[in-house]
Amino acid sequence: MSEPAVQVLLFAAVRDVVGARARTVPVDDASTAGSVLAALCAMHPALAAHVPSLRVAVNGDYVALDAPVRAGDEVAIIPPVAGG
Amino acid sequence: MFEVREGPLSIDEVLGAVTHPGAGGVDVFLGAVRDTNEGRAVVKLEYEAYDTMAVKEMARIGDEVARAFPGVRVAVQHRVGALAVGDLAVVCAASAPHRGEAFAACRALIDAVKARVPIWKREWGPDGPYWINWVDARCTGDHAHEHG
Repeated sequence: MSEPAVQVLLFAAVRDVVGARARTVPVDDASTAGSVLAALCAMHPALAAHVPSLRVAVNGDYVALDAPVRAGDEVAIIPPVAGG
Repeated sequence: MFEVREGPLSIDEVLGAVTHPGAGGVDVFLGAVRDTNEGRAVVKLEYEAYDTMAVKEMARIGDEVARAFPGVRVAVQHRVGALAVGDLAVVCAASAPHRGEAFAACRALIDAVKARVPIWKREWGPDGPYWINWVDARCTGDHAHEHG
């Protein structure tokens, strides 16, 4: 059986910084939106400076950084939006 | 109606989603692509969305606006993909028994869409492409080009 993990979707400028549309990040029972974001920054240090401007969504909802993340959740990193 | 689509938007479809016999006032906001942004010429422009969440968030905003303004119905279409100057990027509509609530609801709707819906805009100016509202971490702000 594979290790528990989440798929992290990357959009717009975040996708450009990381160089991919998605990354797989391992999770455990203590994982949160913030810990997933931190893990992504560890994999891609250029992202770290942008953290204050980033929001995290889990399964299509904005969440606080202390919100739990479980294996199989769809996590997305949301850079500053610019619709309209 | 809360929709993200590639290709031209339909004002008629958005209006059709909010008009009904009890709606004496209908307000529409159209967001179009400008030829300049912050003093820079815009050559072309592209919108990208996290489609599933964008629709979900627009519907959530619609619920909030409907609760804040009883009797109001709202709808939104947002375009993604490559757009040209003058193209409609967003169409919002709100209907209500009277114009006051329709104007207020439409304003609340577009303001929340711009602040919350996961849609991004990349402009191409004379110096190349840039994501709107993204501050380049390498850019310290102590040099010549304009900052938003």
